[in-house]
Amino acid sequence: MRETVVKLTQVSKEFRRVKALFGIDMNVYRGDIYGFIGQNGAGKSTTLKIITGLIRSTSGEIRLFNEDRGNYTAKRIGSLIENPGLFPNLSAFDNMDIRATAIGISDKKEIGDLLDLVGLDKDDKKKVKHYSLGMKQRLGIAMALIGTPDLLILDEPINGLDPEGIKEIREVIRYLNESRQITIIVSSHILGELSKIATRYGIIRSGVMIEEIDAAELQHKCRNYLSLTIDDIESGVVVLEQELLIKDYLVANRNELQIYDQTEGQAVSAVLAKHHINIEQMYYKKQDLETYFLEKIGGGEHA
Amino acid sequence: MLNLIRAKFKTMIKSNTFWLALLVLIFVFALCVIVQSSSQSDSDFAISNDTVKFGLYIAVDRKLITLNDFVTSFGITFSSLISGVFLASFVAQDYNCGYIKNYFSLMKGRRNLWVANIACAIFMAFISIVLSYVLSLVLGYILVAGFSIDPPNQIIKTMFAGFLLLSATFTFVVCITSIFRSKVAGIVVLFILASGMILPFLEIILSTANISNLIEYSLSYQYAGILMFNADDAVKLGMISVIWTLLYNIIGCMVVIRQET
Repeated sequence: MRETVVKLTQVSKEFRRVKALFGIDMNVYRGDIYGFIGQNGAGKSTTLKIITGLIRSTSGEIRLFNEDRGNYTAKRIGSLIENPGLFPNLSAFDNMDIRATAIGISDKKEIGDLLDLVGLDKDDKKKVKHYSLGMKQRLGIAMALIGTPDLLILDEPINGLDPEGIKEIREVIRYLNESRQITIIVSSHILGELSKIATRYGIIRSGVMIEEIDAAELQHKCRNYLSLTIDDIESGVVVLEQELLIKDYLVANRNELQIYDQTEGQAVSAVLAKHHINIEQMYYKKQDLETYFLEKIGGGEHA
Repeated sequence: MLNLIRAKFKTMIKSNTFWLALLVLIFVFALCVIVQSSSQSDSDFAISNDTVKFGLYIAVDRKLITLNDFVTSFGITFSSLISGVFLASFVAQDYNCGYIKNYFSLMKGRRNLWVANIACAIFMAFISIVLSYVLSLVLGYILVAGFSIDPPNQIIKTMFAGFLLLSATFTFVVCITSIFRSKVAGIVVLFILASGMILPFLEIILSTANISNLIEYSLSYQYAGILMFNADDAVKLGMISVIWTLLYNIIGCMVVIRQET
C-alpha cells in the first residue's frame, strides 16, 4: 500500500460569490511526480495554494502525510507558487538565508549547495531585482528546497524559461525525485514537458478534477486503435474473438468497438461481412498524450 | 515563532532603508538642535505664548535646556515619523514582493509573522528612544549653553513613557499597513496621528455623544501635548499607550490571521 502524501477529499473553494473549486479529490503518493494539468483559470494554483496553506478551503478535508492540514510540519513541504517571492534588493544568498532562518535552518553550506544545484552562483552579490525571469525561477526552486522537504510543490516552474532552462529544471526535478526521494507536484499547461517526467497525472477543468491517472495507465489508454461502429456489437465481438483471435479491445459506446490489437481493417470488414454484420463506420485512430489531455481539459477541437 | 522573529530582524539589518532611516533621524535631530541652540542663544529670542497648533510645522518658540526637553521635543516626535515611515515600508515589503508566501506557508505563519512585525516595531521604538537620548546628550553638551541633565527618576519616567508611546504608534502603523497591505496607508495614518490633525474631527464626533473629554486618552492627543510633557504625567501616558498597543495588536492579529494570498 503506497503511502499517501497529499489527500484532498471534496475540497471546495469559494471567493466571495465565485466558486473556484468544486469538490476536488486528489491523491498524491510518496515518490510520485504528479503532473497537475489544466487550462489557465482551471483551478490549479488555487488547489496548490490550499495545499500549501496560502489560502483556506471553504469545505472539504486536507491531509498531508496522513495528518490533518493544520498539524503538519512546514519543514516537510517546499513550494513555489506563481511567481517566486523574493526581496528585490537582496542577493540570492541573502534571500535564501532569511527563509532558512525562518524555518530554523542554520546550515549555510546547504544554501550554497542548493544554489549550485539550480545553476546559480552562491557568491554573486547581484541584487535579485537585476535577475532575469529564468534566474528568479531557479532561485524560487532553490528557496523551496531549503530544509530538504519531503514534498515539493511547483506551480508553473518553467514559465519564462528558455529551452535550455526548461531542460535543466526537468533534470533537477528528476534528480530530486530519484536521488532524494522527494514527492513532487508540478502544475503546468505545457503538456509535452510534463509528459517527460510525470509518473501520475491529475487533470482539472473549470474547478473539477476530471481524472487522476498513472502514467502507465495513460500510456495504455493512448494507444492507437481501430474504431468500428457496427449494428450488432455483441455478435461482432464474438465473431472477431473467434475468427481473428482479437483479445485487446474496448466497447466504448453502445455500438462502438475499439480494437487495440494489431489487425488489418480489411480482414475485420471481411469477417464481419461474412456474418452479415453491417459496418456503419470504420477508421484508424492515432491517439497521443496531447490529444488525450486536450480532450479532457477542453480545447480538443484545437488539437 | 522565534525563528520568524530572527528572520525578520535579519531582514531589517540587511536592509539599506533601515540604516538610511537612522541616518536621516540623526541628521534631522542634529539640524534641529543646531537651529534651536542658535535661536535661543540669540539675545532677541522671546518665548511665545502661542497655543500649540495641530499639523506639521517648525517653530522655535520655547527654550530647551534639559536632556528631557530635547528628547520630548525632537526625539519622540521625529522618531515617530522617520522610524514609522521605515516600519510601514518594511512591513509592506513582504506583501509587495510576494515574500509573504514564504511566511504564510509556515505552521501558524500568519500569527508568528504578526508577532515578528510587532517585535520589530518594539525594537524600533527602543532604538529611537536610545538614539534620542544619546544624541540629546552629545549635542546638548556640545551646542547648548546651560545644558543640564534632569534627575534620574525624571529621565527614567520620560524614557519609559516615550518608549511606550512610540511602541503604541508603531504597533498602529504595523496594524494599518498589514490590514491594507500598503505602506502608503501606514504612512498616511502615521502622519495624521502624530500631527494631531485628526483631533478637531475626533472632538466633534465625541462631543455629539457628550464624551469629548475622552479625547485626552487618544494617542494623537499625547503627541499634541508632548512639548509640554511633564515626567509626572509619565504613568498616565504609559498606561494610555499600553492600552492602545493591546487594542491594535488584537485588531491587527485578528485580520492578519484571516488573510489569504
